[in-house]
Amino acid sequence: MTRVAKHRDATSRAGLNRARARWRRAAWTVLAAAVLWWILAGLDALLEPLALLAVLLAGAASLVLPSGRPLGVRIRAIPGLIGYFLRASFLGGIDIARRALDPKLPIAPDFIEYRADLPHGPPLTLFMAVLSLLPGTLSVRLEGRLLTVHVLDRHGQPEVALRELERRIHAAFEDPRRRKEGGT
Amino acid sequence: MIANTLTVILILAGLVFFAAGTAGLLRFPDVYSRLHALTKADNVGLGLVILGLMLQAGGPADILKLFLIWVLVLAAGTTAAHMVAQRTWTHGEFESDR
Repeated sequence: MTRVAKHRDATSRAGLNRARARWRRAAWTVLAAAVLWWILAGLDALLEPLALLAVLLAGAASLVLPSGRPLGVRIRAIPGLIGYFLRASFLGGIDIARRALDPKLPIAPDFIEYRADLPHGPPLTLFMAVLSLLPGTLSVRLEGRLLTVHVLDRHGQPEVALRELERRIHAAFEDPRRRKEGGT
Repeated sequence: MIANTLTVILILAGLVFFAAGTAGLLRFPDVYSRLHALTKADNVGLGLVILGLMLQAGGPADILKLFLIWVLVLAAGTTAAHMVAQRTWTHGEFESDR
């Protein structure tokens, strides 16, 4: 096989992979739209022609629209992240309720700066969203990767919790910076 | 019977968190601390109310609908808290205008 033919073979295989990924995405969109319709309107409403049309059009739209950058989620790390989030945000609620109802009002608010090592996009957004629900931290401002965080009790150790959350989100997403350097 | 009792307990517990969040909103000294109280306490409060209501749900679709409500409120709450905090950081506390 000549080099040109080999090259053409490789590109057509990449194109085939991309087409397959596109169809897979459309199938997931159809499934998600159908489930959403079922949740919101019930099974009978899902079997109406108009509902089926809308669901199929959702799938068609995801075929036509540009796909954007793949998210690269590691499914295996997701349950751990969700479990950690449920536990930590419940503790956050208990912590704030205790402080708010205590007659002495035991808070010592302050700002800290935290440099996150997560890539911009969904991982960093998720980090900022979730840290506002953890005990005693609230994301205020993001400059580059430098976060300004408001802490309710400066005598605690908010950095420890933030680092733990960052580690878990890191595990749940593939880092595009690292993938480019020749990882998986 | 057990489900009904659990529902009452869970919803009452949820209301305690809502009340605590409101207490924090009234008692805490500045915008940031008040945002802490609102987002975190309301998240747990709504979560408990939703858990209680799930026990009364008519089927899996209703349970998923309640879960969806919780997730959407959570996302909206934490996003709104961040936006208010950011605006306060750049423009100063609203109360200092007076």
